[in-house]
Order: sequence, then structure tokens, then C-alpha cells
Amino acid sequence: MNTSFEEKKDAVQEKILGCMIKALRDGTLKVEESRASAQFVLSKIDSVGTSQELLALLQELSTRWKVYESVLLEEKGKQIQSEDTDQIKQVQQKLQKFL
Amino acid sequence: MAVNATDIPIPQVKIGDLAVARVAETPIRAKIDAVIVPTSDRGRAVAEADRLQMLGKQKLTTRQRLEQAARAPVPESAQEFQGKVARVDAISTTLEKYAKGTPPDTTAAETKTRLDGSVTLMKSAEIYRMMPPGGLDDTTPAGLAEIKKIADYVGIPIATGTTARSDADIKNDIMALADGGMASLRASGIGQLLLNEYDGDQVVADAVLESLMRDSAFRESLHEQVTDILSNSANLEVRGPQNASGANPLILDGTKVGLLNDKVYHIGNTSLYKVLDTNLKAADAGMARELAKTENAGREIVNKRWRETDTLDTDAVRENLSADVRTATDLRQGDLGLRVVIGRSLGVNGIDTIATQDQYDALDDKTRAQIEGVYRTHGAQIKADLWVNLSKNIGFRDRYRIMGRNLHFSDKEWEQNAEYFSTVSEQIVQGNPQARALLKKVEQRGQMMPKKKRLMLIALMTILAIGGIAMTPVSLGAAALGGTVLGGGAIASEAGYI
Repeated sequence: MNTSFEEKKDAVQEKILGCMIKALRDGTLKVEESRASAQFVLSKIDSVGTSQELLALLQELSTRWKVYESVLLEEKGKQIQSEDTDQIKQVQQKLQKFL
Repeated sequence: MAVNATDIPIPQVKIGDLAVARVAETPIRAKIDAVIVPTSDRGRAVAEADRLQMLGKQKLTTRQRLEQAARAPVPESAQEFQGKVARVDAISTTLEKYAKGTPPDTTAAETKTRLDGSVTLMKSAEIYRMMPPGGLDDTTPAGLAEIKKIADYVGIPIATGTTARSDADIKNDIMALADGGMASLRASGIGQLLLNEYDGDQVVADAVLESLMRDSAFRESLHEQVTDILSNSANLEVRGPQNASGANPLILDGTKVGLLNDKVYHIGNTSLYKVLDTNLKAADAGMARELAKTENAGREIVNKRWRETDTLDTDAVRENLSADVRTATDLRQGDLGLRVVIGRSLGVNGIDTIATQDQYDALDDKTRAQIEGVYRTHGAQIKADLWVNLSKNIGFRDRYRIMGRNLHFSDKEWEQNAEYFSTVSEQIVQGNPQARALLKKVEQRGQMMPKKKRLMLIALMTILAIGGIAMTPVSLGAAALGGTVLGGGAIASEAGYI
């Protein structure tokens, strides 16, 4: 697995933790839930190897505990942005060939 | 490099003193616990958020913090808790048989005493966890609900047969159990050590012990102790008689220990004592470790007033420093001021009205115990922290003066207390190169110009500024009197401050 993806996973874990702390403080997450969600993340994160798998994990996480929805949305947004960039590049390359 | 007051190493002390120091700091935790109802989901959630945040400051990686979150302490259900108690009771009952046997087994008797002590403490600690800081109230519906909840958790019957017991009786039973734990703690080595520390003052020692009982880390260590005993008692290999086919050792099933054949159990008891003894010793060490975590708690809570945080900006920090230095200085006799500063940090009601030793002595015993607990363990260090933090801040005094901010200390105040300041500064730098370096840096940066020279400079600056626009006798006079022309007032109004 490449280093940048590992860094991405680290960043996502950091966001999950931030979300967890905020939700605990705001009263939208109980200690039992934070404990269970942390166990859930730790049990899955090591086997995640692609962005799609990461999104699937976040999807499941936010389905079980709504407080993590923002992390999912952010990652989804980034993925769409990245796909758009790829598509634009492809179109540009095609255009350059055409020209 | 910036030096924080908390970077300064704490002097090493004897083991006995250290134990007292650690225990004595627990009132602060109780105080913090009291801010949020500790039994509520909300209170526990906030405490957990704080814990996870604090782990970040301790430089743990995200992964490590998530692992900690996955191990968040969650109280057992009433059923789990009572199951645990029942299993330990079964071991205790069996031990009692041999303690009272013929001949009496003294090892069994000693082990039973220690084991019972652990369970009593655990039950008592659970009651304190669930009990509001003000105690149980059987006069309100909410208070009665709490009483029922606690009784249900620790297994106190709320009915005799089909007849409901009175609320007062249930409350008495709960308090008797809570007191049992306190008595056990009082009689322990820690209790005796505290009593010596507080010159035989049982009220003060008890206040500290109660805080310890309310401490979540302490509670956890008690649970760990009992759980270890149970888990290590299960599947324990014991030296048994050879059976017909060979010398296979018998397996002692800890979960059914009370139901085991007496003969088999008796054969195994030496091994069981050994396990229990090992566990109890390990638990003692665990307890010491947990207590060690509170080592800096007393100092930290006072220091918080002097450090910038999300909720405390530079101005607020300076205001706190000014107020605390002034109090410590004004009431320097017998360090009364420092005690008031500690009380202020603990949020003691009406502490700012204390101006004499008699008024301080008139505070209730529990409040005094909390203040004294912090003072006796970290008073000298807190005093040093106060001055180091003040020194750090006065390093910027010139900048702030020119910006027209109120620094709260006049030259007169500074000069009047110069001797005391210098004495305390000396205490700070003794044996501490970091503090010495810091003070030197501050002295260099914060060197003040003589007052006369400074006033002349202000007058010159004002005249020059006015001259650039309109040099009239009226505006010149206004400037000289500290008028408002071109901000001259702001500068002049600060001229009396350092």
C-alpha cells in the first residue's frame, strides 16, 4: 500500500477522533457509543486498502452512528472532486490530441 | 525557547511522602467531578472527551488515542456487578470455613479479611460514584429515584418479601455500606499515612479519603483487583491427590468455587491463597500507579488560571495573575494568600472575602481540607509557578503599555513589594537552571526605563505628534495634562503603570 494512502487513512482516523470528541462534548454521543465506534474503526481500518473500501467503512460507520456523517460527506466530496479532476484531465488530453 | 512553569521538575521526595502527596491531591478531582453530575451519561461523556483530548496533549498518536477510546471505562450493569460480588463472596465463604476449622487456618483468615476488604471498598466506591456530592436525599422524588438506583446496583433489597421497605431504611443500608468502605480505607496504610500527615485530624483525612473514593481511577483499580482475583481463580491448577489412573492435577473452577467438594478445595487452598495474595499485592501496586497519575493534578488546576487556553485569553490570564500575585503578596503572613489563591482555583464560594487567618479558619472543614491538601503537597511549587508565569508576562509589559492596556500593577505597588518579589524570585531560581535562564531573559527584555526618563519621552512624543498637525497652546496644554489628542491620553493614562 502506498504511503500517501496510509497518510490519508491516518487523516481520516484523526477526523473520526475529532468528531467523536466533539460529539461527546455536545452530548450527541454516549461513552458506550464512542467506545463501540472506536472498536469498530480499529477492527476494520487495517484491512482497508483502497479509497472505495475507505468510503464503505465510513458509510457503515455513519449508518451506525450518525455523528460521523460529516467525515463521510467530506471524504465523498473529496473523492468526487478527485474524479472530476481526472475526467477534466482526460478531456484536456483528448483535446490536445485533437488540436 | 519558551519555558512553561510546569516544565520545572518536581523535587524528589520519600516514598511515604509521595504516597501522601498523591492521595492528598484527590480533592481537586472530586471538585471537578462535582461540576458535572458524575453519574449522568452527559457527565461521563464530557469526562471522556476531556480524557481523549488530554491524551493528544500527551503526544499519543491518533491510533493510540482511538485504542484508548475503545477501552473507555464503562460501568458494569447491575447484574454484572452483582454477579462479580457473588463469585467473590463464594470464595470468601469457603475461606471462612477453613479459617474457623480445626485447627483454624490463619492464612485463610487473613486472605478472607483482605478479600472482603476489597469487595467492601468496591461496593462503597460504586455507591460514591452514583451518589451526588451533597449526599443522598430521601425527601424529593429525584433523590428517592437515586436511592433506588443505587440499591438496585449494589444489591440492597428494596422490599422484604412483598412488603416494600421504607426509603429511610434503604438509605441507611446504602450509607452503612458506603461507611464500611470508608472505614476500610481509614484503617488501611494510606488512611494511616494521611492521618499522620494531617496531625491526627480525622476530619481532614476523611475528606481526602472520600475524594479518593470518588476518584474514577481508584474505582477502576478496585474493579481490576477483584476481576483479577476471579479470573485467576478460574481454571487454577491445584495440587490434588492422585487419582486411580495417575497424577493429573485437579482443576479448580473459580466460577463454581463455593460449590466444590470441600476436600478438593482444601487441598487447593494453598495455591489459591498464593494467587489471591499475588493479586492483592499487584492491586496495591496498581493502586499506587493510579494514584501516581494524580501527582500533578493539584498544581495543574491552579496553573490553569495562568495559561492561555481556548477559553482564557491573554488579558484574562494577566488579570488572574495580577489578582493572584496581589492576594499572595497582601496576605503573605503564613502563606494565607497562597491558600486563598488555591481556594480561588478550586472555585470555593466566598474565598475572595477572606482577609484574615481567623476568617480562613472559619471555613468549613471539608473546604479547608481541600485547600490544605493542595497547599501541603504543592504549595511551594505553586508559588514558584505563579512567579514564573508572572515573570513571563511582565516581559511584554512595555509593548502593552504603549498599546494603552491596563497591566494592573503600578510602579508604587511594584516598588513596595520589591523585597518580597526578589525573595520569591530567588526561591524560583534555586536549583533550577530553566527558571534562572527565563528570569534572565525577562530581565533583559523587560528592563524598565526610569520613570522620569519615561515621562519625558512621553511628553516629547506627544509634543512632536501635536506639532505635526497644529502647535497651539491649547493642544500643548492638553497633551501635557494627558489629554486625548492623538491618543496621548491612552499613553499618559498608562504612565503610572509598569
